[in-house]
Amino acid sequence: MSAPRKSFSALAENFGPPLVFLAVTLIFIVAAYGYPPTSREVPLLIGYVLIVLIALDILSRTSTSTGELVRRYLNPASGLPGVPKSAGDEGEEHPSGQKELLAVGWVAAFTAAVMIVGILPAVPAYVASYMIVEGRKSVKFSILIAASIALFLWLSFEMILSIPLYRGMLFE
Amino acid sequence: MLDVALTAAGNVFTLQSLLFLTIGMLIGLVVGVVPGMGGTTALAVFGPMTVGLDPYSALSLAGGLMGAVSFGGSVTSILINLPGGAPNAATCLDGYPLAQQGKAGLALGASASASSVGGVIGVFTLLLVIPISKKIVLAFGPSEFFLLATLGLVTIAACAPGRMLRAMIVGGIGLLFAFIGFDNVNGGTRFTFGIEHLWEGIPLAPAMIGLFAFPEMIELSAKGGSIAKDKGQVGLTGTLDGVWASFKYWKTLLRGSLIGTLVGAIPGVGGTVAAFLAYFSTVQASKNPESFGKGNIEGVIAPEAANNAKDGGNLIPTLAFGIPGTAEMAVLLGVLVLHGMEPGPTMILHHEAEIYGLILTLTLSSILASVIGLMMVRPLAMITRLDAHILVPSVIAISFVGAYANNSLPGDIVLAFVFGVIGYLLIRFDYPRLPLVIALVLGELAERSFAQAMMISGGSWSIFVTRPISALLFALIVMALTYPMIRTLLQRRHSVEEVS
Amino acid sequence: MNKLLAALITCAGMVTAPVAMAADFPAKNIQFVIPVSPGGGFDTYVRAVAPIIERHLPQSVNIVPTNIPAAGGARGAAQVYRAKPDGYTIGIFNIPGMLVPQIRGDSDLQYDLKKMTWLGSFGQDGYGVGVPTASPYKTVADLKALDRPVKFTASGPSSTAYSATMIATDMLGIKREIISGYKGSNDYVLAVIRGDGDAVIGPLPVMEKFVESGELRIIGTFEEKSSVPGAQNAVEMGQPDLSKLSVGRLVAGPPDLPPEVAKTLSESLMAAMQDPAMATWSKESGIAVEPGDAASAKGILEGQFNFYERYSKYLGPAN
Repeated sequence: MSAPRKSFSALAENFGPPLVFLAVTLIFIVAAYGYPPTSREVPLLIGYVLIVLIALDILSRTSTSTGELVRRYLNPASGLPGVPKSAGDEGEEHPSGQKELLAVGWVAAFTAAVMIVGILPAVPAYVASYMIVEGRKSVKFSILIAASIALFLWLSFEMILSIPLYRGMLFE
Repeated sequence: MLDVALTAAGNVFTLQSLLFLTIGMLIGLVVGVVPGMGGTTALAVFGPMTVGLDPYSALSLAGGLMGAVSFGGSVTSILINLPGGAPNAATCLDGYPLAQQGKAGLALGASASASSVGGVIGVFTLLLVIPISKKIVLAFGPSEFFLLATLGLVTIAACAPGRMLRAMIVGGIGLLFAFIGFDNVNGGTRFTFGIEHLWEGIPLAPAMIGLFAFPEMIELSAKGGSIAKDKGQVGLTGTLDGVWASFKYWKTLLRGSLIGTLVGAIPGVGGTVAAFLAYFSTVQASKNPESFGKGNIEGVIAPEAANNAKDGGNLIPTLAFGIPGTAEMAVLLGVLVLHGMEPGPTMILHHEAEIYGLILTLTLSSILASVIGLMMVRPLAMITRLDAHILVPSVIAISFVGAYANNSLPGDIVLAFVFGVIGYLLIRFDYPRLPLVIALVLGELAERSFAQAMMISGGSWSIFVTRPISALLFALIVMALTYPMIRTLLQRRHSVEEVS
Repeated sequence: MNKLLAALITCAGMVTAPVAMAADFPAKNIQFVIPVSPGGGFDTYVRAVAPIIERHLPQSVNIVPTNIPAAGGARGAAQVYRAKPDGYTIGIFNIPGMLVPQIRGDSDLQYDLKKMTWLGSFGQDGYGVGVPTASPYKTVADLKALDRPVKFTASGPSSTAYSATMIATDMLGIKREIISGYKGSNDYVLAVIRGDGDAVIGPLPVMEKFVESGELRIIGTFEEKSSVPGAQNAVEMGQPDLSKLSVGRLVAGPPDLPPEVAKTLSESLMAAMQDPAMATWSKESGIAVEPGDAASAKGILEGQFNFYERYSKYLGPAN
């Protein structure tokens, strides 16, 4: 059986995640060598074990016979890409990449807004604009919901618990 | 003791005390529901306001508040996968899948009954062990802490049947994350990469908010619809079944409660560990561990029971030595001082009636909070039918502000976002996220207590088997490691026989 | 354009405000920064004393305790240091806890204790040596006479408890091995009772709780006159300088606080500490209150700086 030439994106989808883990582990290992021996012992132990585990994961993602063996014993539930996965709560079909990026982008924008202008302006602005733009809700209704959430946060944190809400880098 | 208990009851069952109990309980529910408002903060703020009240009213307020917080936190864990506080995270694991299946009522019912019975069992255990409370507290040292943490960590593999390898990888990465910050044993900071914010390590509450709530909100946002996939009869049924489920699985209930009380009794371990250990032990003991994480009601009962039982346990070191076992207890001691009770080993002698009064209000509050919660199941369960375009921005806004408010650190909002992205990517690329959570919760405790145990024993590993409780925990770990393998082998042989 | 002008005028007004304000200070709520999480000793202290200070301020405003934990307290300290010098932000400082990082030269430390405006002192807790009740060691000399290192329990090497143990054992000539990493004084004193170590050097009020429950014996206190019956004092142990080891609760505001504002704050603090309500609280909580004015706070700070600069080699690695 001749394997079809895999596209770059399929390869990235398959080998990307373990390579990211590998990169994270290597960063920690390199950093660990900067600490005194007693401080780096345990992190290094974990780091090197991780490298072995990640190597096994990479192996299990190849369609070699060794990969097949690793998969059967250590990861039976995850198949090769294209092979249907076993049904699990976390393994269900995912929304398209563009929609995902948009969804994450909204939260990223909100996080940035909070950091820059502070919580009290950012919260109603985010809630209302999301509801209007994404949800196509009426402007009046969106503003009502946005305002009541901001009011609730202000009342409970600032007034009752006397936790000052973050004012943003611009106003600190 | 009985007459003192009666005096205490007489003082608690006055109109005024009951009124303050209810006020405290309502505050506790609200504080529990909103992430970032923990019982500790609420007690610290409301405690000093009780000056001028009689001690019983103040204790009723404090007890009511403490008893209700954990149930409040479970409600959001089940309905929107948003843990109200780090200890509630374990409830998300099976509670939220149930809500997705339209069984929010069942999960909330079980949560309500498990947490109130757990609270009662915790208090009863407390009363039983008061005479030997010192021995219990002193029996757990670094070697036991290390083994307890390891016991939790080894279940990483067990908790992801079929994806062991990936679970271990995620767990390992989680451990590396857990080492970020101050090295408590050797001094200095590690892996902070120049970010001052990371000096104190990865704060649990923002990480949990990111790991649990964020990925679900992204999915909802991208897909639209609502949390409950079947819009038919969401949450309107099953509440009573849920309440009964706790009694049906009485072993799970009892195990969770006892683990909660015990872990609560050990200073420096904390409620999050209690809830997760209760959850794992239930998975370990179950005949089909694969069903967990997908909406097994036992997975709700165990951590809920542990979460409320730990309040009773928390009082053990306080009554034995006059020291607080948790930050929450430390604030409570501050309230007691305001009312003329000197915290210390003699407190139980000098203020016996007040202490029993406090115990009684704790119990009453955890029961009452559950009853109130049950009455509100219907409207609450409607959240799971709410349009994603209203739910998503509201939950993101409130939970991110909660992530900040926990320690008043704006950097925690960024952390919640980062962990949210990590959590989403893990799910997206078919890695389990639970091991990351476990490792974050237990990693620091494991490394620190291992180093301490080695210093105490002068480098000899025998410390892990020569102390009786250590030996017991060691045996449990060996069992936890081998049992799933043995079971798989047995099943395989079984199926081979069937085929042939 | 008009709006811009109005905004500018308002801004200008805000800049000149402190001058006009000193007379009617305080005109709004005062933020009292606690650089640790709720539940610690310093938190309890501020929350108990804040309502009493309110009663002694010339104008009726609230004192709002605000927890700013993180970076071992450095963030809270920096917040006070950088605050506008108008008296509406003050903080409680653990001395030597906040002072050690400064001597050690921790990176990114954004405060300078020597420049802050010191307002008063709530008092200091002394240190002492404790052993489990069943321990065969009755005096510090017994520990000194051992031919093996004595195991002491303490928190991490960057902590003051660790430095105190290093400094004290050095002065007393005790061979030591430190089991470190416990999370606070309750934890490491409990650890020695559990048998994790032979002895502990810790704050006296914490140890006294365990003495009361019958688990601990204090064999020496680092005070000029021992407050614990049967325990040797610093002089009897031959090291009077040991009394410099203490945990002080000092109150300060940002640098260059206007003198009138500082005076008002300092006097209200002093009046609060001498209030009978404070005495009652102190008696019930077992937490000592030793009122100290601005000058004595400054004195304590300088004394501690001198002491720890001498022992800077024991202060653990810089962060």
